[in-house]
Amino acid sequence: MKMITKTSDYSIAAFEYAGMVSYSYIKRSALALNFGMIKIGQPVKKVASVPLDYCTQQMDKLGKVFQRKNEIEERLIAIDDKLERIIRRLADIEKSGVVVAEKQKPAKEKKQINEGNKMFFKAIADENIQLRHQQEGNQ
Amino acid sequence: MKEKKILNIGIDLGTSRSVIVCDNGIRQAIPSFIGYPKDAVSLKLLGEMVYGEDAIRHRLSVKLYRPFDKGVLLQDNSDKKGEAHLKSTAIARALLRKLVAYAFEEEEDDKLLLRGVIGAPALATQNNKKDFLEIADGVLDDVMIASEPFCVAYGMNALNSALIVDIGAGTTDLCRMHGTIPGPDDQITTFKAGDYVDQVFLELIENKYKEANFTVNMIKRFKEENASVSEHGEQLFIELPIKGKPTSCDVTNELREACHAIVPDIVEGIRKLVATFDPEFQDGLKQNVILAGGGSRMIGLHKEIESYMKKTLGYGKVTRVEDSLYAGANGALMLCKDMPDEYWDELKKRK
Repeated sequence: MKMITKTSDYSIAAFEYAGMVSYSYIKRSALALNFGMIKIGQPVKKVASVPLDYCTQQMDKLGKVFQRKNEIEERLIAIDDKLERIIRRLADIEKSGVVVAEKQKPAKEKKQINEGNKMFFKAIADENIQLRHQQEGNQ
Repeated sequence: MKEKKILNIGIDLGTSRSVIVCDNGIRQAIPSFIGYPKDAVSLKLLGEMVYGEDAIRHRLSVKLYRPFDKGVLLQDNSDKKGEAHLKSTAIARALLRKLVAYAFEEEEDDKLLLRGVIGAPALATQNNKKDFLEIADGVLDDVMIASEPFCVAYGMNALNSALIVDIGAGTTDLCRMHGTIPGPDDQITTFKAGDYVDQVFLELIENKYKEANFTVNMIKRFKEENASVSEHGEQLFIELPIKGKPTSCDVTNELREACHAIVPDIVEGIRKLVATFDPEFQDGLKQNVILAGGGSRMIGLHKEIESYMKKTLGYGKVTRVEDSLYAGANGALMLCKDMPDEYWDELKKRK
């Protein structure tokens, strides 16, 4: 009985050992294979993905352009609306006899004249008018 | 139509230097010289005309003209509309055009209305003033002529109880201000001014250094930098070529003597203007003698005049304007700006 028990123990141990050896072989092979695959596959993946990335980027940009065009169109429409409203308001104002500022002559800024100096200015201006008269007379 | 922007300008067309001051902050002074190329080579090198310092620098390759003499347009007195007069007018107009071009360097010419006041010597005749108007035709849109010493007084707000002495290159103008526009009796013009000092200086150096070879232009700049009537100044040496070799020459006494040459006429003018004034107001005049113009920079001149006034008139207070070169043009600009628009409009109607 003791002999049988020992034999079965040895058998189990041998079996376990064989199993562990096999597991070790399989694991090491798989790791080696994986390492090789990564070494070879990574550059290939890089090169292969360039056109794909480019296409993706372009599509993204194109999408944005379409999006922006929509925004500009919206703004232009808003400006058109505002202009229409302004034109209508101006038409209403002009009906009431008010003239648009652009058509008005800008009011001249009145100079601050020192009354004490006014006689000097008058005398100089008169002398110059007289000079002009004489000049015309000579011509 | 959009109204043009008015650009106010003060101008002093001087015998030696012409000055422009504008209300956009531009101010410029150039020697009153114009040069026309002598031949095809200089024409290619310099262009059709050269002005101011450039004209003086290239004087060997250009015909050099100075349009003003003794403060007024250079002309042949015998013939008002003669060739000399027309030529001087054209040259003076080119000079004025060059000056005015500085005014709108930073602005567009066609959007500006150029309005200017030009200073004329105190006792300029009607014809002299008309010459200034003729020069400005086609250069300025609106122009008025005013007495140069009056412009100085206006710029300094010294329109009452003041005696202005404006020492230029061609003339020295004396003008007493008593709250009205000065008449002929209030003004004296002498021709002993900067150019006269140059001439005397030249003769004195020629007498002392007979072998020296030099021109009036060479000594003019030296005089402008060192002019003095003071007895206590340092020794002055000028480098002049003697037999081709630059030699240092002592001209201390000669320069002092030359500068002194204009003093008697100035002080006699002051004495006359004070003595013929209302006795009750003579003190005010004596206390406020103002020196202006390039000649006023002469070292010791105000002290010299003061000491003379003390001897002959009892006492006197003489001051110098700060900005002697620009004082006349500054006053003309202020006058131009303050002149009411209705007077400008009235003038325009008569044109």
